[in-house]
Amino acid sequence: MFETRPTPEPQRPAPEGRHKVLDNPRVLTAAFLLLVGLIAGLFWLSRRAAETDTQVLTDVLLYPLLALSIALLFTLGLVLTRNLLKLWWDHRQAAPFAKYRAKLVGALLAMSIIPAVLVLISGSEIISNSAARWFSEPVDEVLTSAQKIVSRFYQDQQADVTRHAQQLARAVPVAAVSSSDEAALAGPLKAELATMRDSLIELYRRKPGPTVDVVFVTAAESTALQLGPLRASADRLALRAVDTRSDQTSQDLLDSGGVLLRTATPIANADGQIVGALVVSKHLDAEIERESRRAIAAYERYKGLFVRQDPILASYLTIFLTVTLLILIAATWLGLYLAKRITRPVQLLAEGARAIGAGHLDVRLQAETGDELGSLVEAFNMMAAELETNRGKLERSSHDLERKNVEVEGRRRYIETILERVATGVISLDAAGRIQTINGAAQRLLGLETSTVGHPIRAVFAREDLAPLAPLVSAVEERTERGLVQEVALTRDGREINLATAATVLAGADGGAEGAVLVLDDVTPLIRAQRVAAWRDVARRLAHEIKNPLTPIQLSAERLRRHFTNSSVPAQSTALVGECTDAIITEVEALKGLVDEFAQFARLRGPRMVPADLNRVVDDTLGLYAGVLRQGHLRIERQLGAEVPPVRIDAEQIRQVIINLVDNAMEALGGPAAPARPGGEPPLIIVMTLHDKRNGLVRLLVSDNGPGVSAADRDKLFMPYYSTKGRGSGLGLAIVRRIIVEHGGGIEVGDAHPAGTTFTVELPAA
Amino acid sequence: MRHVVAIFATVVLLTAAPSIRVNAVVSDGRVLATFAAIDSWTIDTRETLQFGTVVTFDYYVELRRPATFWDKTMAQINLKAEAKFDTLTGKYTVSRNRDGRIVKSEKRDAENDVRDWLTVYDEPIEFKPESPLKANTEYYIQVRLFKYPPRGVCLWSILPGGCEDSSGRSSTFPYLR
Repeated sequence: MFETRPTPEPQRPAPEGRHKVLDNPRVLTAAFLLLVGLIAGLFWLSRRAAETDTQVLTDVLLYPLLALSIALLFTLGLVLTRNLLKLWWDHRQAAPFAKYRAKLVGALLAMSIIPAVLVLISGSEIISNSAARWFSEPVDEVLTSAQKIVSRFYQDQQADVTRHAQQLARAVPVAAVSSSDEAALAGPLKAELATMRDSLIELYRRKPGPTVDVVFVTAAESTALQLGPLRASADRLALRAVDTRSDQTSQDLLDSGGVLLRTATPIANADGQIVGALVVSKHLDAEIERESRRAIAAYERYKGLFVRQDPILASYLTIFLTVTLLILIAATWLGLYLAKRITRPVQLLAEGARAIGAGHLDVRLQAETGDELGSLVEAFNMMAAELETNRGKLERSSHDLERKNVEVEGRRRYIETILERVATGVISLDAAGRIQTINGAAQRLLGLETSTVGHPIRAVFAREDLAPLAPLVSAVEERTERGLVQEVALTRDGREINLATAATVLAGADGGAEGAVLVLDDVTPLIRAQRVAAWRDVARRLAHEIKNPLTPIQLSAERLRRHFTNSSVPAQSTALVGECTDAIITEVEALKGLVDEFAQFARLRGPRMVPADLNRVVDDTLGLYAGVLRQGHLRIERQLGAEVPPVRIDAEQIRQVIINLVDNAMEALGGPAAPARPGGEPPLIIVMTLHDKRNGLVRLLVSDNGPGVSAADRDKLFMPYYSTKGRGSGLGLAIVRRIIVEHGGGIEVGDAHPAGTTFTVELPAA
Repeated sequence: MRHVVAIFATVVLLTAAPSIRVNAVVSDGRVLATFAAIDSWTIDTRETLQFGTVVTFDYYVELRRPATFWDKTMAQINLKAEAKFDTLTGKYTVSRNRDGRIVKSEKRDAENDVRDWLTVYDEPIEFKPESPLKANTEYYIQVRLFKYPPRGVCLWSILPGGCEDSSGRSSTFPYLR
């Protein structure tokens, strides 16, 4: 009844075969007829019990039936125990409809067992009482008296015959017997016969010899008695009497229905020797014999029943017990079967509903009946099919949705990856102005953490160094349609960074604001490059515009000095002119040097980059300082990374960078003969290389433990014509930056620990 | 119900069965048995007989070989002795049969004769085992008596072996050829 198509969890198989057999009307009819036949057979046996032979009654009927009853009782106990245990177990497992089924089974069992037990008790009592009445005292007395009367009559008749025989035996002449003198014997025989009715007298002579034998001599018979030949019986009786020397009696039944009471008496002579025998017979007519036998038969049957009353009663009780048990088992089985038939469809529906609840939508129930429960099962199956179809659709939709989600997620990850990798900072805000996402570049540019996600942008930008970004927040809050684009300069960690910012408000499908996006672009290198380019142009113009008039000025000054030296101008004037021309010439020379440096800055060639070992370049360059450092306390320490990969560089220009940075450091410390630092430690320059695998960079760091650079001067250090030394052109670090930028790298200046300055050069690894 | 209880209560009484005296004789390689169940002639038996009911003494005489668990039956003879009292004439008709064959049928006048007829088998009964007996092996003879008609019901009769009225066994004897 409970069918499932392939499911993850197989359902309990239904014992369909058994139910089909039990539901077959033919089987049920045959079982019913068999039960009726068995009960009818038992009733038939009970009718025959009283007449059945005792041994057959006990050995064939009573004991097998008793064994059958015990077996039936055991079977009933098993059936009840099994079903009650099953009910208990179902109840304990909280099986569906367990309580209802238990109540139904209990009611049906009570309806079958209680009446059957009551019938058994009352029936047994009735049978027992009936049996007790079979052997009532009056009946016993009547039958016993009748038996005694009849027996006494019979025995009196027999005794009378014996008396006649003995009397005649003494009266007959012995000699006549020995000689077989019939004439002599006829008289006494007839005289005796005359005293009797319906009698027969036969006389035998003993044959002489060692063996006992008799010979018939004569007979006398009543005239009314026509018995015909009965000699054989008399012969045997006479012989026994002679042989035993005592009276012998017999009762010979006649074909006519009567009986012949006979007594054989031996005839002895004076010496006591047996010479013959007399057989006296008396006839009792058929009616007397029949009535006597009937009375005796009734007595014996009655007594026979009395003797066998216990087995007979036990047989009746056992038959009754067997019939009751058969009916009880049939009723019990029927009750259980009906209970199952009633509860099973409901139980299966409940189990089916539970299976569907567990997600097994392919569960189908098989209708066992065509009634309302069958319709309910069909409705359940339709519901399950509908649910299964809908779930299929849902699963397909879910699958499509999942696939799209995967695509969207992939796209999102792709965009996130791009956003993470781009140098442009991107911050997305929700409609309420809270940060939804912030990429790595934005975090780096603004010095923010990922934990700012979820916080209001205004609160985040309230930080002092981010205050220039406030217009962006305002634009977002005011939902300016065109957004806001502006350049902002921020100072972070003492450095100025230039950001190109843009705030764009995101409009939803309904036109309302869904959020905003802030884009931050670090344009500091661009600004710097623009400044460098401007300076280069200035340098080129200076070189061109200033250098050209310097030579005529210098030549004119030298001509003036020569003129006044060779003339007769007073010595005081000559000295003045000499002093002035010398100053002019010196300053012109200085201007020429300055112009040359500007010219060099302006004409700096592009790098010719080839893969090179940076450590080796550093090593070779620092080798130039070996002679310089011998006299003082200053030391240059090399910390070159072992795993620094080759970098594409113009070794000559990078060498110039290193020299410039090391020279600056030496200048900051006080030159090659620098004294010890105020704290007592020796002046020290550390040149370090290291590999930043994560970012694909090679770093070159030049640190000193000198006085350091103030935060305000750091950004200006790389500007042309800016120097903290108060002399020189101030183009050294500008050239360094230009070289590094043209190598695709960057240069930063920061504090060294515990004191001093660190220049960090970043070059892309090859 | 009291009758039911009474009927099944006789089981207890029937289990206290009298014993049968059994003698075994080995002669010329033959095993012979005689036995007497005098104690089985009870007042009930006599009364039943006097009521004119046929009284049957059904004997199962078995030649058995002792074993550790179940003694083995080598041969079995079924003897039946029947008696019927003619309440009209006061005479007894008796008969005996062996394994279903009538071997004797007589008329008796005296009750003592009938008692002996039913309870005493003094003529040696010869066993005819299906398989030859083993020399110098111990055997014994067991006699079980079932009387009919029974005066009660024995529940144990539903089990194999039944519920005998009395039984007895000879002492074990060696089989000597």
